[in-house]
Amino acid sequence: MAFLTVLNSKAQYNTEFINYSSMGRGVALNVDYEAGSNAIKNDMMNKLIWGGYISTEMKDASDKKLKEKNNFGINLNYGTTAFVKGNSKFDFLIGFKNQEVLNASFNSDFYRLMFYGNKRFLGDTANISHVSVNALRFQEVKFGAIIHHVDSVAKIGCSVSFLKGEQLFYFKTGANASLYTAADASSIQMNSNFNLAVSDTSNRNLFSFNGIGANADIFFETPYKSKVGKKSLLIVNANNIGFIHWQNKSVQYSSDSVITFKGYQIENILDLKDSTLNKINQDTILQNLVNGRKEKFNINIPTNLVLINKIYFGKMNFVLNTGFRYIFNANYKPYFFAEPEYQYKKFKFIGHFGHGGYARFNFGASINYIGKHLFFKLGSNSLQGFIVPKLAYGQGVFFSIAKRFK
Amino acid sequence: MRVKSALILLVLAVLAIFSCRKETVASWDVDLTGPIVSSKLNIRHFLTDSLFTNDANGLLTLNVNREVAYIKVDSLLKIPDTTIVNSFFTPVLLTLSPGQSMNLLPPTPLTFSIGDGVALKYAIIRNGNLKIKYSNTISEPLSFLYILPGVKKYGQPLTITEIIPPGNNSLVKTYPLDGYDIDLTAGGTANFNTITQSYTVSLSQTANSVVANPGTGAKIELSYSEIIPQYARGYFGMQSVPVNIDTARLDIFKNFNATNFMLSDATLDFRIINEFGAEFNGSLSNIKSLNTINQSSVTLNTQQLSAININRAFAVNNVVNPTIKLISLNKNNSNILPFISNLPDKLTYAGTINLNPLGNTSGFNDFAYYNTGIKVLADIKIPMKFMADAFLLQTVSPIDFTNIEQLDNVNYGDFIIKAKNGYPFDAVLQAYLVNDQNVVIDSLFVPGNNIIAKGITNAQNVVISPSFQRLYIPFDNAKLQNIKKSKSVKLKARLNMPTPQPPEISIKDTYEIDIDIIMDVNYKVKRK
Repeated sequence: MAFLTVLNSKAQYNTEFINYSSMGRGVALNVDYEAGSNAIKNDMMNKLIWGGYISTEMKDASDKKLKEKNNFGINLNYGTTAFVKGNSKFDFLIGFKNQEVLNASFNSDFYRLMFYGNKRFLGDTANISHVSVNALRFQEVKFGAIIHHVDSVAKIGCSVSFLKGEQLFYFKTGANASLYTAADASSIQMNSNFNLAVSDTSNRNLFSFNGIGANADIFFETPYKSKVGKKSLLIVNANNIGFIHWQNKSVQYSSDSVITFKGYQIENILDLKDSTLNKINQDTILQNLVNGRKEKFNINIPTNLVLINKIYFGKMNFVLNTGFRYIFNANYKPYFFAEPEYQYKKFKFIGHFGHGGYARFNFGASINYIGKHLFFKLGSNSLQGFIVPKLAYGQGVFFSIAKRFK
Repeated sequence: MRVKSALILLVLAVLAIFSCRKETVASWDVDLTGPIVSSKLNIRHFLTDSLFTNDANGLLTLNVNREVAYIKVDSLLKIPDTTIVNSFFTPVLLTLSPGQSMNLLPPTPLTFSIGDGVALKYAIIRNGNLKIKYSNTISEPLSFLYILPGVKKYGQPLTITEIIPPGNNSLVKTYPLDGYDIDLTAGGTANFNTITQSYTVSLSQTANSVVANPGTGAKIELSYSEIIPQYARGYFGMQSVPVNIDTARLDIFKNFNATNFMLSDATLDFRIINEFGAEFNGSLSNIKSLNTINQSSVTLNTQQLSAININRAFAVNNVVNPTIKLISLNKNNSNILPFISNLPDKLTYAGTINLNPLGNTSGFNDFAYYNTGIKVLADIKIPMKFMADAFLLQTVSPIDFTNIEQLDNVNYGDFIIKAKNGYPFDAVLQAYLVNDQNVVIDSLFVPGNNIIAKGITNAQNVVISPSFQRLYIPFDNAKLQNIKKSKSVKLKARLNMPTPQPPEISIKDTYEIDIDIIMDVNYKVKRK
């Protein structure tokens, strides 16, 4: 199957500027969803993301594929973007977007502790070192511009966004983190080498203003001379370069000590009054075991870097894209991909093959319609998760619809 | 226009997207196990308001102090309500000008009829009232001046000045007597229970001159009522005060019961505290230990309480130093062992108290302060050395798990009781869940798996090494919901003595059951 095209149309990279080449001016509604893991099978991941009961069978299937180091990630972005006319050389960008990020890096003991509990570690130590979990939800208002005729052929875009932090969960363990459960379960020894940060848990909804921040997006596209093909283009896009400042109701916990817990000491077992029971409360336990404090702090948001090389063949209706993607601060592995594109009249058909990122291998396809007044795009870079969810890792979908302007 | 359209579309799109947002919940089951509570179960925990000591051999002794009776003697000193009527009538036709007195008779002292031979010389009034009804049969207002020179407050005599309008009971007023000192000798050292008083009745200075017909004038009705002395001094007479049969709650053993229980030793000291500045003698009788649970009673047999002489208290600078009479009952002079071994929750008693049995030996210097009397305290010492088939300990502890949301996520599991028993007897445990209607709705322990075996003992039945057990309390979500619904847990422990029964079991201060509660649960984790 050949995919040939003459227009740029990149997707699932959480960037507005790449769409601009296809869509031009207009108002677009965009949804990007991608999820992947090199250990957790797709059916289990679906339950984790979309809700539902994760059966032992699902847990066991992923357990068998665990490696020493595993990762997991979800990016869900949806919003709306408008490119409006500036002058003959540039257009303005304005947009609203919700971004949800969850990613983790974990070892097999951590997975088993999380999904099976500590009972299977009776008389044993669970190694939970170098575990990282980041969950972040924020909204942004974006303002920017794209200069679409730099030296008559190149494009440069940049934007800045004001961010509203809604939710944060950040957890990272050090090299010594471990949990020992005594053989008779009479004690638990935790080597608590970790940091934990949580935004205000009492205020978790769309209108929660738990953090404030800023980010910037940079886009650069230029043709270059090449011996291969009719034309070559290089695209560099970096977005989400920024941070969120979480406000002072956020809580940070940190601990680096060996804690042995043998149960709450109660002088008289018959003294079960409220004050005694209140000690056995998870918040109190956490507060007592670690150094918990409410304070302001900054967290860098995952920065997305995409490099794409486009080579045009034939009558410029066939393009071979090769690229590289990396997301900083996101437990993401370098992702290499190739995308053949073919354009037939107003339709563009695109294939996708990649390796890395959160999943292992990915393959996908998408279709674009570029009409005079309408732009439409639907596709996935990880179709395998939909086709064989019990076997495959990773899934994704992207969708855009735009009203185009002159 | 295009920009405007773009913005409208943009806003609509934002609303459409964000309104679709929905929280999801993923869940999975995990097996969690670990310690929850580390605690101790001790015989001391079951006995309320008690203080344990131990002797050189480590034998525990229960020391209990209880107020058995407090016989207040305020009634001995109560000054009765007294009413007198004084008339100031002219026997002849009399023309009165403003300010002119019409006192025709000299004032008379007022004697209170206290009775029982009580002869008070001095008192301080805690509470009391003087109510006066005034009548005037002359057509012009009269002026009334009443002075009690021996009734003083801050050194000033009680003085009442009123204008009596014409008419029958034309003025009625009540004057509080709180805090007044009363000299009850009426100025003469041989007198008692008597106060002096003076009256002046005259035509008011603001009245018009008037002709008073014979038999007209003023009538004054004085009522002294509800007089309670804060302090009284004098001779309180020879009185006999019966102590009617009464019951005192002990509440020592309310959580404790036993079968064939017999203490090896015990003492009961009655401390009779006299806070009264007068001598007493008396007797206590019909003292019974009542076990209302077993419906059993044991009458105390002793001669120690039949003739009790109690010396007077003395006061220095208004501070009372009571005298204390100690009567010790032990197994040699009474049947105290079966009396206490009955594990009474109540004591009954009766008796008689005789005041000043030898007469006025103080020379009118008996004294009493308000709210004092004769207090009877019982000091019970019980060395924890006994024989019994078994004894039962019970306690009710309030609980409230309603706010522990995590219980809702528990599917099933066990609470594991890891016990180290240092007692020389087996403990059979059961815990009952009691709801807000005080109805038992569930129990925790499984019969057969609720026995903590006794420690290992030597030939003298002294524990030389504790025993170790693990008891399992299985539960499911339904039982946890019952736990959440419960407002209290009633824990019953039956402690079975070794068989064959040893002569005596000693409870040492080192004995206890170490209890670690471990949870082993299947828990539903929810990712919200």
